[in-house]
Amino acid sequence: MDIQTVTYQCPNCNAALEYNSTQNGFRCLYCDSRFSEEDIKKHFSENEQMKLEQADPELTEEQQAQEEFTGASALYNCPNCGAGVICGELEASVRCHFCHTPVILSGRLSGEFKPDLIIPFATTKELAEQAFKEYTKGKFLLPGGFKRNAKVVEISALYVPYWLKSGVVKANATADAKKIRSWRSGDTRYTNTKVYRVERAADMTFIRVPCDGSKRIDDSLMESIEPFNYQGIKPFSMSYLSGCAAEKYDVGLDEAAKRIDQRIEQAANEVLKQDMTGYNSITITHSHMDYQKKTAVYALLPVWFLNYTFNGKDYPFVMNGQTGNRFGILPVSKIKAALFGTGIFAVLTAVFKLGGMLLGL
Amino acid sequence: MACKIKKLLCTALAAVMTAACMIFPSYADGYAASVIDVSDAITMDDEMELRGQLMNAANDLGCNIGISFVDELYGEDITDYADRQMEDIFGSDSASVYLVVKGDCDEATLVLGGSAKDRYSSLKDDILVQIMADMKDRSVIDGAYKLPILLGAVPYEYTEQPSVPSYSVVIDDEADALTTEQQQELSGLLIQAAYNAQCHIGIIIDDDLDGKQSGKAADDFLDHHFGKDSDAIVMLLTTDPDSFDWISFSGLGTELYSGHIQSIFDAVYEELDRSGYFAALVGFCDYFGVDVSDVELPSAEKFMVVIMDYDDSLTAQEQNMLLPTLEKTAASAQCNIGVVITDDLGGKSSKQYADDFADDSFGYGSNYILLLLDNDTQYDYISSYGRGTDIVNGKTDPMLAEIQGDLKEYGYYEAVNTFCVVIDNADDIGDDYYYDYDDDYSYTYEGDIDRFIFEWAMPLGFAALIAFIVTSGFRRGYTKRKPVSARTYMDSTRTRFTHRSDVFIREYTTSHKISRSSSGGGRSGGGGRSRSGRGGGGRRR
Repeated sequence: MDIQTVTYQCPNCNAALEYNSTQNGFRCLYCDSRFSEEDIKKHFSENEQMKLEQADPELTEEQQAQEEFTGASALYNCPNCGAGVICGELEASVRCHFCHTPVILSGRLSGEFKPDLIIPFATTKELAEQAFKEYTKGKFLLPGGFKRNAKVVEISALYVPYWLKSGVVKANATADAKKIRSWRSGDTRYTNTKVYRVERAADMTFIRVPCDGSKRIDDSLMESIEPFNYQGIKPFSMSYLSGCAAEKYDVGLDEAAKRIDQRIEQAANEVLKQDMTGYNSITITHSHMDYQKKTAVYALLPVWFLNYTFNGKDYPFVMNGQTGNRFGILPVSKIKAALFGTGIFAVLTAVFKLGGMLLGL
Repeated sequence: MACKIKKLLCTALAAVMTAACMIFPSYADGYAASVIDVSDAITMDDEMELRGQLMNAANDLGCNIGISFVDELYGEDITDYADRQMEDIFGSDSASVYLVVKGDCDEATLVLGGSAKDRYSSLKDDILVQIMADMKDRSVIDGAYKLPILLGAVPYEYTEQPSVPSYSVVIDDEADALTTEQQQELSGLLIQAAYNAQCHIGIIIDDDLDGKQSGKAADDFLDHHFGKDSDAIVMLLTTDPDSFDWISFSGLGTELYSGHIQSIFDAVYEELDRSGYFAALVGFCDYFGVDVSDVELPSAEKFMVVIMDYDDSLTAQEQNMLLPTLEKTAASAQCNIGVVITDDLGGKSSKQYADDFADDSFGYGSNYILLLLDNDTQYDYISSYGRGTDIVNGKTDPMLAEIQGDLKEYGYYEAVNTFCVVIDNADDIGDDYYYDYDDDYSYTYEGDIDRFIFEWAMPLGFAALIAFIVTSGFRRGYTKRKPVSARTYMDSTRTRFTHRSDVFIREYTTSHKISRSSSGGGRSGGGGRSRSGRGGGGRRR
């Protein structure tokens, strides 16, 4: 089926424009002309608005069945070369496989899928590749030849769909707390324990707690590269997607909100427990949270993705496209781990035996 | 005929009186005095007074003193007669001075025995001349009175001698560590030591001070026996585990010897560990300049071996075969070795029975190792003292395990052999040796599981655990996600606590006893070591 598409073309030579994160502007891939965000907005804003409002037509039953059969991929015609290209169900920004023109599938970013906000990429691909190399430096349990043999699937920039929830939360918690005092008299040790019921309640404001809206992306992976700096968040414009991949969400707000609420509740309890001072032990027995005000927005946040395979297994590496926070899962060589453990074992055995000999045991 | 009867009666009377003096010699703190008046040379009163003076002199001088007045020797040489009398009354080789006067001093002789020879040999003739002169010039009794005086001085011509200071020696052996003969001999040596030290000397050997502190016990003894301000030295040797050996000084003793406490104890301990209390006290006398070269000390090579089988578990032949093995073990362990097999402890515990049996067999304070195989309660026991405790301390359980194992499998004969082997190889107990049974019964001891666990399994276990934890920690660092808390997104400026409540519910107090570790004693003041001495351990079959 045909999808509404948008390309940003150079006003000078009509070639494709790509968003340049280092310059906070756009660059022509052909004539290397540079344009600021304001220039592009001014030039393309009417088009953009019009395209965003042009949602993809509703599917007929036959087309729906066809989509389900084919895995919900879709065909679009490249506005630059006219080639017919198939793209995945969630992709909202792609490159033409033939002419590499960045193509934004505006139909997938309209209506309920229209993002409210976006944080443009602030780091380059080279920086991401460098970050990966630094991340693996010093990791002596990596299998031999990992860096040499690991097949690095191309590091790619992706705008990940996020739900950002804000709200004023009224949290309360009840806990059993103990004050313990111990002293010695003669050859007897006495322990005095005082038990208290402690209650705390507080109003807390949380601003834009994120949760990614993609089922295929691991939530904990994304949470490991937080936080994003919301100082750099901007109203959504399709132009930022030019040159980067983007996906639309497939985790709805209700589902994402559960995860966000879980995080907020945990944080609220931490705050309340921290206020229960002067006790030797605290056990929360009851906690409750109510939203007094809440809002949620849909945003696209920048993430660099790198997936490498080693010995047939995939190991993901992600980097925050704005702040550079990174996280990756690395393989561990069992042999090296065993040797490392054996080395520690041998050293400690020698220390214990020597220590025993010196003490005359 | 009348002469013959008179001769017979005199001989009989002399014999009876000699016998009486032999049986009931007068002792003064270990030294004897004897007066035999066969010829009625002196009155009964004079005899008693003379005997008293001789007793005091014997105590003061540290040697036995005897006088015999005879009127007929019946052809026997007077010197031979005197030697014979001295030997009969005081014993051979004891420090003794014996005067025999025949008739109205027609003939007299002075003989010396033991260490008295060294002291008075050169003076003997002069003393005899002086006494005979006095006896002739004044009276027999006056001459007799002169003997102790002349023995205490070195006069070549009798003159009024200034009074010789007398020092006392008191031996209080509550622990029965010394035999009577040893006490007698020591008394003589200690008297000499007292004179050399110019102090009274007291020796206390006690195994139970009844909670009294060593210093107090020694001081009280000194005050009681010698007086508060006297010149005195009192040494206390005790195996009370809560007390220390001690030396107390007063008067001149403090002035001269209080700075030499360690040296005195060193001299005592050197012999005490090796040969027991008698040798230790001889060492004490040696320290104070007494010539002890003639004193026969218990030889280090002479150790007792005892096998007592009350339950007929061993044949006579087997006991005879075991003796050489036990003697070898005693020689190598340098202590007495004993084995007792019984099926009746007489109401005592195995420990009590073994300890008492050892004390009775070897003497209190001697170095020993004793094996009790108790067929009554089946609780075998190894008792030890001194050097024996050094050998078996902390090892009685594995030793008994081996012995009981062989007892069960091979019988009593093998069990006693195993006892010898485990003592011979006591140093190796706990090491990883093989148990190899040879024809000549020479085999070494198999490793102790408990020791293996402590020496190897625990360190290896801890090392393995820590290595696992560290390696796991590193591995987790390669895969562990670190999600950011939502507190990052909280606006702390807009956080407001609306309710705080801390309500006291209840209170309770618990207690528990703290287990103490036993603390060893320390030294204080003039103290010596704390010697527990006794050791041992038991095991049920």
